[in-house]
Amino acid sequence: MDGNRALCLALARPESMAERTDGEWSTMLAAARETSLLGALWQRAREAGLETDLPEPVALHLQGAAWVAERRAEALRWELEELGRGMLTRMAPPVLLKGAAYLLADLPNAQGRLANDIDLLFPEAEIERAESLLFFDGWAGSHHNDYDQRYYREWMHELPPLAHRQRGTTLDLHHNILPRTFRVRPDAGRLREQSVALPAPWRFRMLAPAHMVLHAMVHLFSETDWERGLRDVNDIHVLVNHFAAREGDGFWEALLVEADALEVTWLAQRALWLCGRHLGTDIPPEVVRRLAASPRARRINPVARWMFHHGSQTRAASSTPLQDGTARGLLFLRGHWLKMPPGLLVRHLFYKAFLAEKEDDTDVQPEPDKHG
Amino acid sequence: MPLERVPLRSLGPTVVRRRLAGDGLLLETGPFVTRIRSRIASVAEGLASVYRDYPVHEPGAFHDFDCELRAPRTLRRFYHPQVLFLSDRRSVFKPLAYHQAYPMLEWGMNWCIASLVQHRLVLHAAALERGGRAVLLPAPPGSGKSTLCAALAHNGWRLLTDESVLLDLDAGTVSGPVRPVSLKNVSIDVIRGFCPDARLNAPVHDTLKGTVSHMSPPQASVERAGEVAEPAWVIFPQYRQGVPARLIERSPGECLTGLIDNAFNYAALGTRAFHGLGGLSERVRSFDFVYGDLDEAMDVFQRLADGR
Amino acid sequence: MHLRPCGEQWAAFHTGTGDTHLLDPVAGAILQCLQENGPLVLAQLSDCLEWNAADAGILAEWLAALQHNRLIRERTECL
Repeated sequence: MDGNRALCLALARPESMAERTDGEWSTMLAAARETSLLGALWQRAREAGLETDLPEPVALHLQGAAWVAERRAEALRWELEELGRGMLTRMAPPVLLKGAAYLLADLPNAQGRLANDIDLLFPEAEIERAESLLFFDGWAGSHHNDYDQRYYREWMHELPPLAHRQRGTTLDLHHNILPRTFRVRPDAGRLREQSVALPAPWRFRMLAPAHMVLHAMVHLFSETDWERGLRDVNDIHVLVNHFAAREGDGFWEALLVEADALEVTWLAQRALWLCGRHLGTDIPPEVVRRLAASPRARRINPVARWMFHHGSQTRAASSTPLQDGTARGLLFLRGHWLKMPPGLLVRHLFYKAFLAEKEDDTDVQPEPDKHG
Repeated sequence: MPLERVPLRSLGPTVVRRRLAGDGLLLETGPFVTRIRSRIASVAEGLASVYRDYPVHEPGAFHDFDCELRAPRTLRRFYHPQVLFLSDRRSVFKPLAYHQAYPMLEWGMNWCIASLVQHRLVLHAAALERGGRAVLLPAPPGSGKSTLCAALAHNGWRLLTDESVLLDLDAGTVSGPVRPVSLKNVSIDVIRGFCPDARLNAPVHDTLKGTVSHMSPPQASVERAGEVAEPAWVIFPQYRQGVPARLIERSPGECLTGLIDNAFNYAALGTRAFHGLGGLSERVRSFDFVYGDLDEAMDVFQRLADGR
Repeated sequence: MHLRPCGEQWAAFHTGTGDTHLLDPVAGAILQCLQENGPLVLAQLSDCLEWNAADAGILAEWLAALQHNRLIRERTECL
């Protein structure tokens, strides 16, 4: 069994970890390392009461990753406290998105998850005010050239990322969950109106369960870079299981209604299909039927299924590297195609290929002699 | 895990080459097993000589790291051949000239420990053990750490590592991957003269660090690889030509800051690493050590071992 | 903030920024009080600095105006 399959099985059915051979463990660890899922695996093993049965070196790697994730969460929590005490108190509480929201809401996918950046959602009319206020807390823009500024401000759903001047933490200010130039434009007002306040003393809100899941789906399925696709798939899987168990049919109903309202039903279809394919997510047949029957649905053709499946395999553990690479290349094109109308896309890719300052891969790689 | 391990030397050059070109050679160095794949002749030769006494696991056994060395797939390979180091199938360094493949493997294996190990605090330091007690030598490149370490390894101390000390944050013990000592430029001849028994491989010239040769640890150190030790001394070495050997005591606080400066994953482990290193700094004696002569240095370390 | 004695000195680890600071014994003791119990700090601070009640009052305002971590950052920078 290749590492991708073994990793998916372990995430879906932690008991399966007991059946792994030493060789399978090796590639599974590599796959989990690549997708930042080592900490999540440790969490699954603990939930299943398996952590003492794991081979010792495996347990050590998983445990170490869980420590690092714990440390990251601790630092992120502090960063959010700082943010909540600073200039943002002059504005209505923003909506916290993705990893930071999972963490503060104590959702099950937050355990062992490596969260890095902070993502905040503001009303479009207020986002630049937030940016100016945050400047006084030490957050400054990192993209200074005119093209990048224009790219973010005119075409994207977020401002150029901010970085903290002392600590280097990254902060993204969003006004929507999809770019302005994307094929569909969800109603961001709807996301904010249904958002839920995080428990005091936090001065942040988070998306309603259905919106949170849809955001995770939309995020992956509008992505040009699928390198960590499996982690996003796992997020969706865990969130869906969690909310479906907590809220029952009400969750599925809300998901269907909101997917239509945000015009992202076709993306949700693909995301649920991929979760089922990789992790065997328990999706009621009725939900699949109703999604497909929606006027906003689009049939997933077999070639696209092949592309999504192979594009979300890890590189480290792949037994089909050629297919996976091809699929990732196609997903890159697809992502850009969805993000921008063709004219704009040609312009953007032309700029990135010929005019942008080269970010040659070899320039960011270190010299090997730093290690010995 | 059931282990089928044999010394590398017992495989013979053909099997080594075949494994490297095929499913990989699984090399055990202390607590880690690395899977190495390469069709490059100098890699096979280097491994067979430097790691002669190291255990090799059967194909299909567990490995911590996955390494590959190969030429980049570009046209350049026909007129200016280069080599890439891949970890988990991903290139992690700028390519080097083809003849540097073997040192690149060593540097790459160091990178794996420095970048992928999270369950131990990894210090950029050498460590040696005597009577169950370990001396840690944290130092940046150019401080004469490796030369000192190679000399001590042949003078009564068991080598734990020349490059990456692994601190168990719960137990407070240290271990090392017992990998070869990397010697550069004049150190190569210094060690050849100082330790006639030392086994060095053929030097590789014109690397970014000049000429490099790897010294195999003494067989006794290899056989006891993986055995942990209690840290007793943390010594910050500094080679200075012509200066008499001298120990200058460091306070626990200065020891702690020195260790933090030389840790790879201190920030990643946070509080755990802080308390781990804080505790270590209080348990050990710590010194700055300047030396200009290896014989004098050996005496100083001998007295240290006898004195406490 | 995590604090631990380290020989004669104190070591402080800031859980937010990940910075580690080495403090002299007085600063370490003050920080420890700061963490455990606010009011003690002032008394101890003014004692060790040999300040009178008026100066200590000004210090109290200054302390209140600063956030915990800011104080530590400034203090450790000047140490």
